Amino acid sequence: MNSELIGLLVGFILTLFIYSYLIKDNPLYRIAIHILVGVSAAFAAVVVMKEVIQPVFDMMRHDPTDADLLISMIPMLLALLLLLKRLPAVAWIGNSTVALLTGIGAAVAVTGAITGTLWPQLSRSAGGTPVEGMVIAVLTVCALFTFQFTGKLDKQGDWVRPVWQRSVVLIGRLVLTITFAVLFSTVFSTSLTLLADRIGYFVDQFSGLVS
Amino acid sequence: MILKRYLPLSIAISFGLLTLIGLLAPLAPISSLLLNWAGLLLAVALILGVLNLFSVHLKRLFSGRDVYSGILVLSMLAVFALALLDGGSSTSAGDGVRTAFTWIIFPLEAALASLLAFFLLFAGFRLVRRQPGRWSLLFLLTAALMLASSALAFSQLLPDQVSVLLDQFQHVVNDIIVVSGMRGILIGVALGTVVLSIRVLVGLDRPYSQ
Repeated sequence: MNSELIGLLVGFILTLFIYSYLIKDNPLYRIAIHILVGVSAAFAAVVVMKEVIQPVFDMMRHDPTDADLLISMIPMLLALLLLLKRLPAVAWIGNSTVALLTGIGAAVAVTGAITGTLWPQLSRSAGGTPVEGMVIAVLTVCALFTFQFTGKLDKQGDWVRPVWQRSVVLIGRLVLTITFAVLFSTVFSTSLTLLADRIGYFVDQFSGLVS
Repeated sequence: MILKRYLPLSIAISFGLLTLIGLLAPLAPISSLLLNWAGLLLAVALILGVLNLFSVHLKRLFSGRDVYSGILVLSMLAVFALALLDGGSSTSAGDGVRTAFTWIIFPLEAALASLLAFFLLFAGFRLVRRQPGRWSLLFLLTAALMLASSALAFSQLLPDQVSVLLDQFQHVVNDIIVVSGMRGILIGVALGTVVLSIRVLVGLDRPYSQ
C-alpha cells in the first residue's frame, strides 16, 4: 500500500467521522475533533519554533558577540518572565510582558483601524453614479446609527429613542438585516460548493484507484 | 506594591506610545524593532499555551481516564515526534509535519467547513421557530432570494427580460445595500477599536493586571 493511498484513506475516514455529526453528536465526531485540535496545536508550535525561536538560537551559536543578539535578548528575557505567571507569588512580574504585548497591540490596532479601515472607507466613494454614492452614504450613516443606544426614559419609565432617530434606526436595521442575509447566503453557497468539492474529490480519487 | 501596580502600566503606556510614534511618524527602525519583539513574545506565548494544553489533557487522562484527552495527547506527541524525525529540514515544516497537515488537518478542516452549510440551514429553521417576526422573515426571504437568483443567473433558462430584472435586483442588493451595511459595520468596528486602544494606551483599561 503506497503512502498516497494511506493518506487518502486517513482523510476519507476522518471526513466520515466529521460528517457523522449530521446524525447526532457521537464519539466518532469527538475523536476527529480532538485529533484536529491536537495536531493543529502541535503543528502551530512546531512551525513557530522553527520559524521564530530557532533563528535566535542559531544567531547565538553563530556569533555570540553580535550586537543584534544583545537586542534580541531583551524579548527573550521578557519571555522568561512569562513563565513566572505559573507561580502565584511572583505572577505579577509576568504581567509586565503581557503589558508590553498589550501596549504594542493597542498601538498597532489604532494605526491599522485608522489607515486600513476608517480612512479608506471614509475617503473613497462607492457606487457607479453620484446618486448611488449619495444613497450609499445615507444608508451607511443609518446603519451606524443603529448601534447608538442613547435615549431617554418616558413617563412610564420605558427607555425610548428620540423621535428623529427612530426612522433612521429603522432604515439602518433594514440595511443591516439585508446585509447579514446576503452574507448568510454567500457563506451557505460557499459551504455547499466545498461540500460538493470534497465529495467529488473522494469519488475521483477512489474511481481513479479502481480503474 | 507600587511596583506591582505601576510597572506593567508604565510599560504598556511607554511601549504603546513608542510604537504609535514609530508607526505614524514613520520611524521604521523603532516600529520594526518593537514589532519584532512582540512577534517573538507572541511565539513564546503560543508555545507556552500549547504546552499548557498538553499538560491539562495529560492530567485529565491520568486523573479522569478521559479517552478523548488521551487521543489529543497522542496526536500532539505524534506531530512532535515527526518534527524531531524531520530534524534538520530547512523548511518551516519538514516532510513528516507537512504530511500530518495534508493527511489530517486539511481534510478535517475542509469537512468541518463543508458541514457549515447544514449548521446554517438548521440555524435558519431555528430562527423562524424561536423568533417568528417580520425581521426574521425579511432575513430568510432575502437569503432565499439571493440564493435563488444566483442559481437562476447561471441556468440561462430564463427569458432575457427576466434575466435583466434579476441583474438589476442583484445590483441594488449587492452594490448599494450590502456595501452600505458592510461600510457601516466596518466603520463601527474601527471606531470601537480606536476608542478601546486609546483607553489601553492612556491606562484607563488594564487587561494585563489580572
